[in-house]
Amino acid sequence: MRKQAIQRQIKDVLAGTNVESKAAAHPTIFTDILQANLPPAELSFHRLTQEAMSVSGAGIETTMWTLSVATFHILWNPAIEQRLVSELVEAMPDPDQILSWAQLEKLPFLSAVISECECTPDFPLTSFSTLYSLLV
Amino acid sequence: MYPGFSSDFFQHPVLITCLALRLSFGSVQRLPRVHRNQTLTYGGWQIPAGTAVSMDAYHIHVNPDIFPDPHEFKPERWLGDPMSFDGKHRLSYYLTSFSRGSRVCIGMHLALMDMYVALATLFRRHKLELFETDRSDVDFIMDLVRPMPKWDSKGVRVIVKA
Repeated sequence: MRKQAIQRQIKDVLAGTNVESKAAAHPTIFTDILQANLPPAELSFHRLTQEAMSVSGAGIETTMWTLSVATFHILWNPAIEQRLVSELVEAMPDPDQILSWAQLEKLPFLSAVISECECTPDFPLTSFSTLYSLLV
Repeated sequence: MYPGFSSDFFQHPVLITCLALRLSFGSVQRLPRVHRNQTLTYGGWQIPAGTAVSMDAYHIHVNPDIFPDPHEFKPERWLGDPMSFDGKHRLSYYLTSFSRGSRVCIGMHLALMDMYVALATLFRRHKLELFETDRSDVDFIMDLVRPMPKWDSKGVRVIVKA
């Protein structure tokens, strides 16, 4: 499903008819790739689809897994959950007013929990083709 | 159908399949680097030019010299931005989830923002309870590019109590 959606967009990008990339206020990854004077093999439909799959996979899988692990360990350790929730309640008395990232980063225990979660080995993002073969 | 995009959990008002994901494909990746024209010295080793050398976050993050009780979830170890065991670096120096240097993860800041805002929102607004989930559902068993738990894990599942 995601592959089809990506392929549709890449077709549009190559045909110069991709509305999102034209309307974007800043250059997209594909704007740069297409303007980078790369050999034709690097600009094929297949190659660009791989690029898009790896970028979106890398952006989703890592954070998704880290959040899963974080959620598990917080709930698995009631003392940690309690300490985290107290810190959050104190910092954000109104649950509808979630602080900005910059402000949340100043919360020591939340930061410690996130650092500890980051310890879960995330995936080394390098090879486009390997990732592509994994995701399709 | 790509499992990461399952929208099943939106259809379960009570039981949420929280961010659960099971991938069913296999390969192993590291971060290989090659110095093409110079011998590298590492400890007592001489590594000839042209040799692929690689590292991964896992073996740093579970090194008990750097992180005592490496398999235990201990946020306290990070409080106060402590120094590492050898006193040479901050402990955070050894956090290599995003790799380092000129090829550091391009999405690092996005990922950190996601983590902070998602966890703060989730735990400020909701009371969750684990549902038929234990450590075997998160412990790293398989390297499928991203770390994966046992094959038959149903993921981290929670019940939303409030």
